[in-house]
Amino acid sequence: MDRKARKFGLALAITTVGIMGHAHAQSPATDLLDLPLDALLDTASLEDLANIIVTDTKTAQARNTVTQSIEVLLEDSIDDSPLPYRNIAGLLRQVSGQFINVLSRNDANWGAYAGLGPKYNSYLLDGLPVDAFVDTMSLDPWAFARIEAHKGPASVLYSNFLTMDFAGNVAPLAGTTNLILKERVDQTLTRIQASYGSYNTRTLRGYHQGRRNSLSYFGGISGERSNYAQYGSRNSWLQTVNDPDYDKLKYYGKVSYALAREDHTLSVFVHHTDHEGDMGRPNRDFSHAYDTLNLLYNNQLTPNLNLQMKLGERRYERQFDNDNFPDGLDLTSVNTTAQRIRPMDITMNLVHSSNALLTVGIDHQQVDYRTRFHAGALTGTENNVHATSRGAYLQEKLQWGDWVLRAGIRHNTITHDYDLLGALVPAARSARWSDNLWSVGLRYNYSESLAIFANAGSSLMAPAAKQIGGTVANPAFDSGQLANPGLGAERGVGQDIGIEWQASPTYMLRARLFRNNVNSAIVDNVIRLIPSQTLASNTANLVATGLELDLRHNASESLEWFANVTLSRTNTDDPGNPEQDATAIPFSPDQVINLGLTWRTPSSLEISAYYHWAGEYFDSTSRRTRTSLGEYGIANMRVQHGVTNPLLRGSSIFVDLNNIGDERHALPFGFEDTGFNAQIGMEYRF
Amino acid sequence: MTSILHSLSQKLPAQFLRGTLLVLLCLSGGGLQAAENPLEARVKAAYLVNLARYVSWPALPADALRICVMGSDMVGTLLRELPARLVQERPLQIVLNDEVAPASCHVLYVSAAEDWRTIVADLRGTSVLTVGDGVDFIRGGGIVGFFLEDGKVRLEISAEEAREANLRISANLMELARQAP
Repeated sequence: MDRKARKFGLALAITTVGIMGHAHAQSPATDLLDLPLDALLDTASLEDLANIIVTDTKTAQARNTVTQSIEVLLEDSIDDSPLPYRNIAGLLRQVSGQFINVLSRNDANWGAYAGLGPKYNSYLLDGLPVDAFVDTMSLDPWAFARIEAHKGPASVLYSNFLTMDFAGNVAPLAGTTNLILKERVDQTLTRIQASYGSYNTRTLRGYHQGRRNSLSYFGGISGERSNYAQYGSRNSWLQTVNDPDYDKLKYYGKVSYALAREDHTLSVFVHHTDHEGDMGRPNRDFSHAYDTLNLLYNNQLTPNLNLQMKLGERRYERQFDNDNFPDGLDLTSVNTTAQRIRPMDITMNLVHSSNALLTVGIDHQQVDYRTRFHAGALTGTENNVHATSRGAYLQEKLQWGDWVLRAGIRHNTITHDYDLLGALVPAARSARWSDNLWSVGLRYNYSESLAIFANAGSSLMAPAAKQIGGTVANPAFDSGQLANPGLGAERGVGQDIGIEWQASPTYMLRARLFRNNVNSAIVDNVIRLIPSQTLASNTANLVATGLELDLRHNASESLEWFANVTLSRTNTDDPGNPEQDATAIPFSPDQVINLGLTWRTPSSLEISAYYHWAGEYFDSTSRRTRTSLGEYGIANMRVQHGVTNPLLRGSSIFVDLNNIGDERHALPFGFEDTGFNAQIGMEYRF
Repeated sequence: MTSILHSLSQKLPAQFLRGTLLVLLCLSGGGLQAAENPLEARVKAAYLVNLARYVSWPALPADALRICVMGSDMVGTLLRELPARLVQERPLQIVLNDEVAPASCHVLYVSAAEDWRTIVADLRGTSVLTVGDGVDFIRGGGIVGFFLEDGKVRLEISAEEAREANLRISANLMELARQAP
């Protein structure tokens, strides 16, 4: 039996469930959330009280009324997990259906969600879109209370994110991931952490939270400096002659103010990141600055009516110096990119008819994107584009006994205005796409421990300006994206069906089948590695089907473990282009396996270990130019001693051991894993 | 950051800004009070009454079973608005904030906004069931702590502190709660 089959068999054996017992359906129960206290005391058992979800995303919902499959990472698991690439997206690698490569500590993440590429799962910060590729590296994890990964189509309640940049726009067809900030502070806490590790990496972090009457606040600062190591394959565009140093400085803060009531609040969150360094060659410096602002107003107007208004600004300013590698190391040009993205959202939630929830809202997004070049005496603007997205949405959720039905629609309009593309005034100065999107969901609570769910929905994704206009002024020398002026929008449909079974108080099993279909899909194909160049093109049809199996066991207060496996079959259907017809969707492995374990000893020692296996995947739909990647396993471990709960005072030490097997596998775009690395640190909380 | 706010004010659609300000002015009220998320407060209030049902005291007076609340107006108001009911065959009496004499309570909920450490320390040796917020409450000598897990209000119970207070907690309650180490 070969290595691949052995690993698959092991994971499948772990996740396969034995005989399913017969679970009696409970009699229908009144919606406990709406009961006054008197009735709640007479109706709800202790178990019922323990199962009421009191924290809301758009609004408070009991778990058994949500049709989508949702995985939640809480604050303590965010704290306990090692982040070898300092990227929050790396935590989601453990979630089934998600395959996430973080390309390096200096770069974005890249992967696949439910068999589709990286642009089909959006990221949110408290419900407002953020960049799925950059903000997961920029935002400090200590600001988060939890992370919710919603699987399945979410294009009605949540809009696309129009980055217009290298990574392109993002549509929530395969799902959406909500990074939820801490809100109310219950106790004062200060954390100071210092660590040292491989590549001469030094990190210092500070954090403080507190509350004064109706005002909750937190803030933090962190700095990291490293000599790092070559993170690209030999002789690729990432080849180094020196250590690729980097400096990161982040500072952030949030205040939440209760206006007369705790359910009537105004909050402001700000975050700034400076990220500078060089890429290991004398004229490959980079300098980035990222700013994030979230304003949130929440008002429970009546017990049944909730109003939320959200406003954000995201600024991404990047500068790269370029040389003439491999022919020379002299400075040839400096490229700068400036993006300003302003998302807004107004949502009202109305509980009506005792068993129904109506959600109505509008959202708007405004984007300014500009790139400039400086090459010797030449200086100018390459790309200058603007984009807007306007959406109006409505969703109704009804509960009939053990059944939950959800249906929603959205009207979305995306417009582009091109002042300059590739330093030229384009023939087409604007583009506009408009569509009606839909989403439905169904859940049947067979019993308190067993539920069946199904969801479906559609999506619309416009091309990014860079995919149309390109980013390279000189295709012979420059790395980046080649122009494709004829690129069109893509439309998709996603579906899933699954079960959730709390087989016992300690065993949880989840299985989900998914199918995602994208018409006229835009796919980035790798054309050359030196310089690194891609070209976006519309394929005829992408189809991704798959199965996710999850098993979680809370064996005791001191031991918990999980295992999940994702099997995917992906296909591009492009009969008019034999070179790309019947090939696999890029960046989506055929198998992904995750195993994890956390063990706490009575002597305050905590060990968390994770194993991640990725099957084969490709970086392009083109048979001629694609590269086979994957088929590797990575093991990471964190060992902590002392106080590990993020709410408790005291001190702790930790050791992170990353890529224990020193697996230096190739990543897309010429990147390469740097191999085994370690970090040791101390933290004090008071 | 001020440049972002300045840019924001200049470039946002004017109607959106005006509408936002109008709504904020209409809906912002005076007076500053600390209170929980209403659903969370309702769940905690329900737990407090259930604690009174599932705990045994060495001796209970015949005239009342007292639940006291300090530092949480919403929980206290919810309990005080309850129609009269019997718990352990005794009338449920709710005592709030300044009216509270901690040693006279059977169940005492002290929110994180209060100086709970002093109160808990002063109640050592009595049979008052002390209830608070956050896992820190248990470490500080409290008997029952509320904590949020996966969006739900859960209980952590210190069996040792309960024994010290001569309280017997029903197995039903212990099964649902997390046991303090």
